[in-house]
Amino acid sequence: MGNQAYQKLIVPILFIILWSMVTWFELVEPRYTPSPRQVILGWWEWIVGSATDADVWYSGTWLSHLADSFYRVMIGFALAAAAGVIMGILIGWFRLVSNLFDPFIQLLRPIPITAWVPFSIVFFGIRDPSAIFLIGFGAFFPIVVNSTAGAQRVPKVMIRAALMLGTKPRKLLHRVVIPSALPSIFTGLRLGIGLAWVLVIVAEMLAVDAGLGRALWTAYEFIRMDLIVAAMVSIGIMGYLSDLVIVFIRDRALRWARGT
Amino acid sequence: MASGLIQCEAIQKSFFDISEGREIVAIQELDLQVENGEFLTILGPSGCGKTTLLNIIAGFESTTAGRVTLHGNPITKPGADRGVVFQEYALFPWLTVLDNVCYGLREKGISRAEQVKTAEAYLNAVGLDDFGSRYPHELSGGMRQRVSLIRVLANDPEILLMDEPFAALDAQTRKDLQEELVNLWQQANKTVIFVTHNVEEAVFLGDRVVVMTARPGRIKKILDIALKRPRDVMAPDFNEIRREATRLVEEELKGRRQSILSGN
Repeated sequence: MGNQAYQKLIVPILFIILWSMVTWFELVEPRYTPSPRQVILGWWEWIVGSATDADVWYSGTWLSHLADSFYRVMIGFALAAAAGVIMGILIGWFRLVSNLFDPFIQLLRPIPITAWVPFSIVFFGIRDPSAIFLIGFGAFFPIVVNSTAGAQRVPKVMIRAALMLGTKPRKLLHRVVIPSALPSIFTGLRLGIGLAWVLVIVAEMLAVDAGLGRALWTAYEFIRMDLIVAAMVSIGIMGYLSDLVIVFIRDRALRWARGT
Repeated sequence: MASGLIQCEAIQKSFFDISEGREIVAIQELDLQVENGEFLTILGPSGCGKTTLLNIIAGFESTTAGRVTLHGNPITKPGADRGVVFQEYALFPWLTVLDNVCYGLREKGISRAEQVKTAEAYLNAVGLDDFGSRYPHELSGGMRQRVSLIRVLANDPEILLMDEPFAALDAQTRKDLQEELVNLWQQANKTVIFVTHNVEEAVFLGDRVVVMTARPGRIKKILDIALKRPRDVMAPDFNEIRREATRLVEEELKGRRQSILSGN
């Protein structure tokens, strides 16, 4: 609803007002609490600056960090999506595949992705592949689990309807199971892209030497809280935009599911 | 041996009911012969195994004992020769109405132009010409069930199996669909097996009404309905048959109540 757009801005604006007041009246330690103004100034320098002095080491590097993170998220997410959707549908539809892989996946799933960092560094080094592995591996789980659920929850009556109309059993997978599982698959993809942006920051803090996560950590080492906030907001915006892209694709692919 | 189109010979169906924790006999020693071209309604209280019987003829479920044949050949799996109309419509929500009606024809490898031509003729026959590009969720229950019916008819099956297809509809829509169904059946010259727990519906539609017993399901009585079509549900001769059918069903309901009260 267009006339409700202003409602979506109320809470963020109230938050910024509250934040400004807290910093203006110095209600918390000012050294560790940048004001909105400081964040914008620091961020501006980070984006468009061209200074070469050592105290503005970050000047003009924002876009390159963003591009690094974006690249890793996209590759990691693409691998996770391909593997997760295919595995999920097969697990959800074929009992044998489910017996073979489902218990193993459920066993791996609760292990925090950070637990894999040491192996990741040993095998892939402090470079891109390490981050891509952690992102792809982490985002794989919500995608595979939701795709599995979608394929398992195909109503029995849909299968029967297809069979009595002449669909051969080996064709049920792409005639009925995949279309029926699509809403669930998209839910998995949305969770996956969100997690990918979480994990890229974790990976860059621990296992790679560039990107928004690395920049955030460096800012911490220099106690530049304004830049930390700028990095956090950058990540939030990127995650939000990526999700909007998936929702946009979903709404076009699933026109049939609108309003159900 | 007699040779109907469909022949059920001493079929039995039992399954393990998890909620009751015991073996349930849904159908016991049931013999039934369905003639080519007839409209057969199966009437009985809920839980009497009438849907199970339909599912066995459809090939969705197997029998525990006995056999079911079509043209003398045992039924082992579903096929396009037996079209099913489900109570819950079971339209494919990701396909438009037109594509739902085309579905079976596409599986037969018929050209798209032919598919659309046939589908549009059927949509026209049930007054849904303008709804081909809609999705099922945009339609009312009555419209969805019309689509479900013509989706099967377009596929030209030999037999139409209908499982309480109008039970979820309001009274007026239900009446309209019953009349449309009789018209379509008379034009298409197909064999119909129609399951219902509604006495008036069973008598209005059927050439024969098979009244089933409460669980385990057996045939209690078969009523021949000699009334001319279109039938008038207000006519005295219709009423007489309705009363007889109601009495038979109520006997079964009463029997079941007593067995529940006495703890069996």
